[in-house]
Amino acid sequence: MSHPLERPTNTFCGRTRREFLWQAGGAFTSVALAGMLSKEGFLDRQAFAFDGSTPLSKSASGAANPMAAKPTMLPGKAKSVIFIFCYGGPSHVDTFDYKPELYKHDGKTIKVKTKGRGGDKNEGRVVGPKWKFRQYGECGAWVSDLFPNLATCVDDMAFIKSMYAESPIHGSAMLMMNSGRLLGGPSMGSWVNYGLGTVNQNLPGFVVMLDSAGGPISGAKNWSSGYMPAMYQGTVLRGEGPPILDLANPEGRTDTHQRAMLDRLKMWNTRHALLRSGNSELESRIESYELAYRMQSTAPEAVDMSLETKETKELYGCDQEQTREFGNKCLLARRLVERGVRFVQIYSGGGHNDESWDAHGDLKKNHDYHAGRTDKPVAGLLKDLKRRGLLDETLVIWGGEFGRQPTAEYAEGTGRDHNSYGFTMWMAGGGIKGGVTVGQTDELGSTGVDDRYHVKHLHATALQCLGLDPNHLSFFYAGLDQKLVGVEGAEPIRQLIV
Amino acid sequence: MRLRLLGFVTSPFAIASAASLLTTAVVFASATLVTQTAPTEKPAQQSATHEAKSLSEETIIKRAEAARDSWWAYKELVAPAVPAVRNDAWCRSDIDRFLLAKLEAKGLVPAPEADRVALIRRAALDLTGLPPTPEEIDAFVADASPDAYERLLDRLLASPHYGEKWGRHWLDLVRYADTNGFERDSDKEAAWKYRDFVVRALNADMPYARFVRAQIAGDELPDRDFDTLVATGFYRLGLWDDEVPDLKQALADDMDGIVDTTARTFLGIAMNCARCHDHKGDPIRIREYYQFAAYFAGVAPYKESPFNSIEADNVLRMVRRDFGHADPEAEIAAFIARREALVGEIRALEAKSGRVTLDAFPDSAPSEGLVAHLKFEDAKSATAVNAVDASKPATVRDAGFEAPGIIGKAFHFDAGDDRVEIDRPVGDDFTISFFFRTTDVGGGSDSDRRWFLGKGLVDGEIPGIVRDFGVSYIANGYISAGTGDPETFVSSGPGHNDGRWHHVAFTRSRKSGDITLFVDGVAVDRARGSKAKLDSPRKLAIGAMLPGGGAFAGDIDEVRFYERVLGENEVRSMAFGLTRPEAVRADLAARAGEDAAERFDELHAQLAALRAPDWKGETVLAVRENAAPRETRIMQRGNPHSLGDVVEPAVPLVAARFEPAPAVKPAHGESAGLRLALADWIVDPRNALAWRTIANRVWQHHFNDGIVPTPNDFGRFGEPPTHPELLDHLATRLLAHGGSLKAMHREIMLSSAYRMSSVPTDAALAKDAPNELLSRFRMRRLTAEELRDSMLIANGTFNAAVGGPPVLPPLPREVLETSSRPGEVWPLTPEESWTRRSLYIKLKRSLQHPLLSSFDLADLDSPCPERFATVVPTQSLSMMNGDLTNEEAAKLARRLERERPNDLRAQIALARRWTSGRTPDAREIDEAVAFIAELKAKENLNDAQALNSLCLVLFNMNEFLYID
Repeated sequence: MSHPLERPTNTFCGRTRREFLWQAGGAFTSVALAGMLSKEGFLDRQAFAFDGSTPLSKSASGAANPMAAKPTMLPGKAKSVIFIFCYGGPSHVDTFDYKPELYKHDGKTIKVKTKGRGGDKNEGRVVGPKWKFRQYGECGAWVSDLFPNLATCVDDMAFIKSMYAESPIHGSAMLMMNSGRLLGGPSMGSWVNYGLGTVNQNLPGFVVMLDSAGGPISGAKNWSSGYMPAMYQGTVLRGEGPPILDLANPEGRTDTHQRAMLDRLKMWNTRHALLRSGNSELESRIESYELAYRMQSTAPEAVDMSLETKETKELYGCDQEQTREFGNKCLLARRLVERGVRFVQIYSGGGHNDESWDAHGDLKKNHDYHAGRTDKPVAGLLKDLKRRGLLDETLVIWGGEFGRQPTAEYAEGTGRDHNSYGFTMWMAGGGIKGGVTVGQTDELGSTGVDDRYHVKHLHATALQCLGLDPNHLSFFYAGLDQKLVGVEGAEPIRQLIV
Repeated sequence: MRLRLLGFVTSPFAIASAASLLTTAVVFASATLVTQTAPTEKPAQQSATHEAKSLSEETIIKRAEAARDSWWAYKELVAPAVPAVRNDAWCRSDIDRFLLAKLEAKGLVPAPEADRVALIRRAALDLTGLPPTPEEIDAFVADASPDAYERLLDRLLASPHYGEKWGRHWLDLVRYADTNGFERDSDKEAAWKYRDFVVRALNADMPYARFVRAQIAGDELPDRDFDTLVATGFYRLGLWDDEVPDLKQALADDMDGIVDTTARTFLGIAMNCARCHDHKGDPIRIREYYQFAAYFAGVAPYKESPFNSIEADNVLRMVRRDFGHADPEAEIAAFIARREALVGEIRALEAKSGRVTLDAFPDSAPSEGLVAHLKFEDAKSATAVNAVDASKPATVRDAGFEAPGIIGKAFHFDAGDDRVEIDRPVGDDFTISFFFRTTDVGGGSDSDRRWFLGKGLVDGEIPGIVRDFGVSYIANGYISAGTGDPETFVSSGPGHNDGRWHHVAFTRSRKSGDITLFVDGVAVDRARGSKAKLDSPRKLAIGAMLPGGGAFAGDIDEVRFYERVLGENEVRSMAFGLTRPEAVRADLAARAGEDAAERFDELHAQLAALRAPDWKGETVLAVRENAAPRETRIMQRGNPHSLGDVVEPAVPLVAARFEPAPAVKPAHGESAGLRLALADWIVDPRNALAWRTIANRVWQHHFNDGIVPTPNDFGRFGEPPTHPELLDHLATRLLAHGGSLKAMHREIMLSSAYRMSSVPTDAALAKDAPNELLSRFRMRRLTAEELRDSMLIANGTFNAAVGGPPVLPPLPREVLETSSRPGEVWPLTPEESWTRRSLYIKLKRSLQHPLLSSFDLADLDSPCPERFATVVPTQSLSMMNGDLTNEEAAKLARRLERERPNDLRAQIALARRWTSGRTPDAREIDEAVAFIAELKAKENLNDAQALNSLCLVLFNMNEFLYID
């Protein structure tokens, strides 16, 4: 059987907007789809069943709802993704990429090719790593003292130490990490929701949580759906107050008041639709108010931390000032994936400069701050997922838009400039082999040397874990089968996958 | 030679600047040849899915040639035969016959005519994007004359809101946004003038051919003007990364945006597929993509270095509104001649008074408030005498040179290390006055004239956002001055590098923050800046910039500092060496008679009234070409680091039923004329593709779907037309109308087809459920903009002003917090702007208006030929719970109370009319009354609160959101 997301090869001119109907299955709600195909009757004209070739007749459309959560294209363990985005670019040589040589050269000026905010350089003053590294777990992975808690989870984590990206500049690098393109486009969360559909119609399928310092550079463009319909864009979820914009009734409006309005609206809208038979969009819109109403009651439950035990909260560090903010977000992320949210992205760091991991000045101060706020929460998340049996179906990704240089940026101080030639990311759960490391950087950590992996390979690996074929998950736009991994495609990193 | 400021003579020294530009171009060209030295960026593994097999070139060429006659889109455009129909009585025009023929073949009958309320609402929203008022509806319903509908259309077509509505359709195609994207997401300066051009052009019913030529080659048209230059902003609408990881890649991406947008928008061809390899669907080779791109090879890029900058000089121009219709050179020459004549005659009369001699330039500067005066009578000494206070002389750095001054001697600066420094004598209210002459080219650039970029005249620049100030000399003879924190500057026009003495006075009032720049006695620019004491610089530099650099080449004389704001009369007297009129008038009257004295008064009055012509023009975002077009080379696999053959401009073979004419270099010599050759080819009546494309777009926005349902792709990946003959009919009619879109709207909307009801019959549902054949009208949802605008119209707060810079109404805090700069990202514009049309809300790539975005605003980064119309619960949430809708609903309720006080039934009836156009029946009013009573009883609401709730429900109704 061919998969709905794969174009049937026997149909000429198959890649048309009409095809979008079955390609787009798995949208937020069935309402969403019907409406998206803005023209009445659209559904009947060009609807296809899951095999991609059987047209759905009007009468059959009820029987084979193309909007249910989709079967995956491939076997895949992961059902959800939690992407912990360390915005600003954490230093790999101070976190997970142990470079003993670097300590020795501290302060010496050496020849090394770098490219960062300050442009291309051919030499620089080495900044020795500011933390000690130790080996942990059965796999013996090296982790710096920045992450004492996370270090206890290394046997569940797989490290990619030879990542590279196309840009050492935040703006374009952020867009690349999120969408696979320097110019931006539909983000990974959009692709995952497009590919898998949703199993919980009462919550958005793609949720973004921002740092209290603010959004990242380029703001909402990082979770944009690009040329895809807006239903695939990320929804910003806040840890305090109403979690989603406009989810709560305005102040002073009771639930019965809201319901009275909705009932009256439904009555009038239904009468309006009766006179205009054959327009399913009108009916979809009537239904969307009921869905919204249900979201109003279910979404707050999803973010209600009072339902968690003290022990669980402590595991995430929610009880300590330093880790409370990020701990709450990680715990929230677990609650969301438990409820079927497909993609959760949590930003560590926001705004600019030292509000993020962008340590241009004082590396020690910066990374102590950001690692200190996130180490325990992320470790808690991995442990909690594991003990609940959720880790197998939840893919956790950790990393920034790039790493940092082995040399100092300025004549004085410990700050490091950006480095997209080589950096580390790790993944855990969701079908990822624990305790594995692939690739390496040179002895200074300045660039990947073996098995270098482009951002696209990271994306391909994540899709593969989710049971989506990265080279066939496509959206036809502008005459091309657009893919997260680019029109040329990219293979997943198979060594990492169980 | 690029003449940056259009309509002005370049001084002889502009050659120097042209030469420097040439250097830039050469550097750029050579940069593209440098091989990339960074570690290889190739993916570690080759894709398994890449289809490496391609057809041979020969095969594609053969296919392209064959497709010109076999594929519907490329075929010759001929007026198709009008089909015979059985029910000809239904047909008002041939449009109807083409549609009806297909319906009859399927055994369908067209729906009856829509009722009048539906018809006027449909027509008004389609043409203006705004709903009709109840008064307009009543008038139309009551108008029994046979041409009532026709007159309605004429009225709507004449509305200034027509251009706003149809302009928005166009802006979707060309990726219009007000910012550049990426880290800083900086404003795309003056982009809104392009938006206003589109609105203006459509309102004026600019023939389509002209509209296209203006955007592609408005700068190359023989009759170019302000509008056609602004139209070339078309090239500048892309995503611009101001700090790029890979310059060549970024420029290739920008070029791809231009190529793709041009090909799709004007020709309905998807060229971008051929950027990396031969097109998989249409017979277009990779070579042809780059040949097409070669038409734009001259377009100066938005960036020339990888560092944080955008080349303002390349993308901005200074243009006067009357450019092309006026002769600014002559105006300026006349102004100077007039000024000199007046001054000459006044001086002659002064001499007649016996008080003044004509041979020397009289020093008529006032002494009140004068705190320092450098006469530069001895430039060679280590200090320059301060004539006001000998204890506070200025210091001369390096050796000075003497030159003849306007009075006595002057200080000659040779652009070396020489400079004069004086302890800053002023900081609150002040006037800085001096004379200078030069033949030099200044710092900064014609389009970036911030004073601190220039060469120093009298400067106190301190880097950073601080309380500093200065006067400098910019590019082709501009004088610029300014104050810091906030950075505020004023500047003159160009051409002051003519080797003659010019007087400059820069005044500043601390209380108001007003700064004024006078050049040769006339105020040339004013602004309002800092109101703080300007005490950051400890010293001021003369002849150089204070921090170093910016060395001036020329003479400076009679530098004066006043601790007060001199008046216009005082400045004028100083500039021309005129004696105070009171001092000579009596003697003049006595010696030469009262007539001479009256003439003297009159001359002074005329001189005072003399105003300089507009030197500057205004900044527009526009195309500008490099001195020599860059070479275009095929980028193998689309990789800008892997260059192949050099290619010459050509249009894709498949679309080339005839060849473009050879390029002719325009008389102004600024560009190569390639783009005009391309534009002329596109709009040639023989270019069927182009005319089918626009005819389809007009139809699309009237019938909510194109005859070709993929309006940006007429190729094999697109969908074929449902009514190919009708499409050709429309295209030939559009040509017959001389490309008048308004004539086409009229013709389409006058058809019986457009007037059909949207209610389907059972037969229609059975035989053509998708309504592909148009047996009834297609309902549509309001667009995001129409939705918001309709709420503002309903509650009476709509601000109908047309055009201007983008507006920023309040946004929810939660939305602002998604920005990396929540506090600065969205500075509100004045309150009256908050209810402007949605078209004018700033389109910021990193932050969008939540309601508009939720209702399917076009993606700002790529061409959007048709909008999605999604239905998702989050829309319902924002419509029911959002601040915006609740506030607008409350305003509607207040308006009802004002207009129908104490009459609930009348309030309800009016509310329904304002939101749907329809008069509700008694039952509906009863239901609403009951609803309000229920809310008051059960929810304990007062009258106003209950009415708010009703109004909110009305804004959520499908009757409001959908057009029948």
